[in-house]
Amino acid sequence: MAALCIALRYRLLVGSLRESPWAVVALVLSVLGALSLLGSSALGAIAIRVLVPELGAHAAVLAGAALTVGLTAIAVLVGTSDPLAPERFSLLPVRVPQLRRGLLAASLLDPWGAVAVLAVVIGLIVWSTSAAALVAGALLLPVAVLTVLLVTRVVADLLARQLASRRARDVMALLLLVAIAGVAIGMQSLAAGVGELGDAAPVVADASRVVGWTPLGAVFDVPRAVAAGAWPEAAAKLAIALATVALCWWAWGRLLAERLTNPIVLRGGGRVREGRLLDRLLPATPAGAIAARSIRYRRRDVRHLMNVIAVLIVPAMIAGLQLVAEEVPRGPVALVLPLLTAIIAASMLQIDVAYDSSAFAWHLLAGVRGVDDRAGRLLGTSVVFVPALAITAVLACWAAGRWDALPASLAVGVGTYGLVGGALLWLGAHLPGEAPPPGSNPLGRGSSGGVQPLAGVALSLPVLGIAGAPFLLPAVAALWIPWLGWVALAAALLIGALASWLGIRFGGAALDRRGPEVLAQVSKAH
Amino acid sequence: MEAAEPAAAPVPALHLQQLAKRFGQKVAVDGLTLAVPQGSLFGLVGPNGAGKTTTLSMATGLLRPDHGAAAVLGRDVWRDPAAAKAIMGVLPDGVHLFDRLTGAELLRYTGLLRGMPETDVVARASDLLGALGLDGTGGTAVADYSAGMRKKIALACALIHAPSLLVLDEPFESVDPVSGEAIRAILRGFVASGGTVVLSSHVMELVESLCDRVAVVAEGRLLATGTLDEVRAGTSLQHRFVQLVGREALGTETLAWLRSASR
Repeated sequence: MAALCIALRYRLLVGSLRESPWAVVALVLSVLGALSLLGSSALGAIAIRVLVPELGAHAAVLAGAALTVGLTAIAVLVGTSDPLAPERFSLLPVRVPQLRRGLLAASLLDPWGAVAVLAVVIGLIVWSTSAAALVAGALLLPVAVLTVLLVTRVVADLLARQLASRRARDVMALLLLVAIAGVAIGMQSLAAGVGELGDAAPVVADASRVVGWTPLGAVFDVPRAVAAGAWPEAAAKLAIALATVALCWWAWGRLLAERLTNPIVLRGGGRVREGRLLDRLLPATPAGAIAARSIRYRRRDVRHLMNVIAVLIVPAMIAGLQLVAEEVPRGPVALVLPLLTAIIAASMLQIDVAYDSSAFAWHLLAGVRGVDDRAGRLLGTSVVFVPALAITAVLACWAAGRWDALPASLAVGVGTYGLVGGALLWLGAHLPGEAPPPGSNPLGRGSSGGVQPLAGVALSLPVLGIAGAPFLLPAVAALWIPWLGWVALAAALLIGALASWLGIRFGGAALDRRGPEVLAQVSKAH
Repeated sequence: MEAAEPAAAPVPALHLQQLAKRFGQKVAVDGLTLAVPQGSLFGLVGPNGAGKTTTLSMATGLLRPDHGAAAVLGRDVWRDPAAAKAIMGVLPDGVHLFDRLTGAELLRYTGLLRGMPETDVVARASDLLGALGLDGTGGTAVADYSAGMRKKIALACALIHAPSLLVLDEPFESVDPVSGEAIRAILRGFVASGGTVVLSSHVMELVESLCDRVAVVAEGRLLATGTLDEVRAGTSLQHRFVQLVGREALGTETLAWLRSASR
């Protein structure tokens, strides 16, 4: 069973790679990402080992617990798109113990499982201060890996049933936004605290003393106790660690048994409010209808909601930064943050068709003209994102403490959105990207969908640099000569509008030519 | 085989000429030529994988053919798509709907995409919802409809602009008998008033009871076409179909293990 599960996992991966060269690029990027994460963890561990060896064992406890929590959060978020979800085995005559062993073996070779194993191995670096700790750490490696993997699986499977409803997924998405803002605050505080590492040491030690007695940290604190010769403590912590693994193993079996006979079904939306306001505000034309549908989808389709959140993350982080603000001059922030938000918002235009998936066929069947399609999508997206850009500009100026830079800040946001958006409206008719299929987990295929948009952003940066110069240069100059901000704003509105019009025109013509090819590309991801 | 109408006859409602499509090594449709006369209720039948959906996708502008042409009442689908699409209503198979909209919103959306005036769209949408037994579904997203209800709302989308030609891919799949009868009545009425219907199915009894002309396709080729009586040639359509497609009846040795008492 274990071999079968591993082989299945591997075949599914190979199959997805064969399907599209973009999936290969995405895989390479995520492997590089994981390697750089692990590499920097290893460097951090070596630095601690060399500079503050007495702190290493404490840091290992906190890092181990953080690893478990982090992997659990990821598993909860992407859980519903698990290729080896227990439901898929529910028609086969498998018993829970077999399946549990098989899935555990497969999850060891899962990308996240591999990260867990390597991360735990990195822990050996900090325990190398004492032979006893090193031996204990090495012997406990399997227990540590099992703790990380089993806690992750049990918590994710426990929550999976609750998360199957749309409302719950919406709430999770919002929590994610809050969490990211929180991480931004945390990073900022951490960066501020780097200077006083000496002060941080007692905090780390105290925290690890507490965490070391919890199921998440116990296994990581045994080597330290062994090295210190505190045998009763080591024995107690080992007992906690083993009990955690045993309990999770048993609980996971119960959860698997439940899911084999009572599969989790993703539930849809429940009731939808049919507002008439949007229909009255927008013209009853093809472009108006597409815009209204686009706006409705931002709220009703969690995949689009996640994208709105992705755009709002930047302003949310600014708000977080402002809360821990220090007396540092941050003039450029007023321009850089609207620029980033605008690029992220504009990149949504490129992949908008991909989110329709094969439903885009209805546009083709109705003979929608390309220009109407492009104009409708731009209008619908702008109704949501232009206010977000305005808010970003206000927040950025507040964070920078530079209210005089507001016109320049608005200019950078709106001008970049219009310019890059126009370019991507055209590019989207050629490289529409990929998106999670309708009704699936919004984070499921995010990584492979992320490659063509990345290419789009990369291709549009030269456009921004050249065509955007008339508003970008005065905006930068406005940091010293404030009235130039108004020049920048006027230029930005002009250039943004012109670029959007060109994007609608040429993107529309490209879509008229390539409609069936675009449909084939976006409906591949079934 | 009867490929083309005599020169004096009116232009066919749907005319496919030498349509061909290949996916990699696999030839899905292999030079298919077919003329559907106006006012007919035309059944396209074939085994699984015969190329029915591929053919209909190429006939309706969803999939660009490698070769050949398709025309709706003389308007070329690939040279003048706007003209052809304006008079054609299509129910595609295996295609998502904009399913976060409610049924009424989806119909309004489809009507407006076709450039219809809003008042017509709203009036026709409520007529269609009533006729297909979908009234009272306000506030429910299409995503939460059953498979049969989704088929019906998609059919309503195909009908809303009162087309001259209806192309329906598997219109009765997962539709309950009562709704099925309502759809048949709609289609018969549509044809009686001069419209043309092309539908695909692999339920022979259904095609036999509903259609007046049929075409049999297999492996991307046209095996037979004509009126129902011409094609079935004195036997049942089911029997003739099996003859044409050329599958032998299963011998007694096939799947012997399934019959043995091994369970």
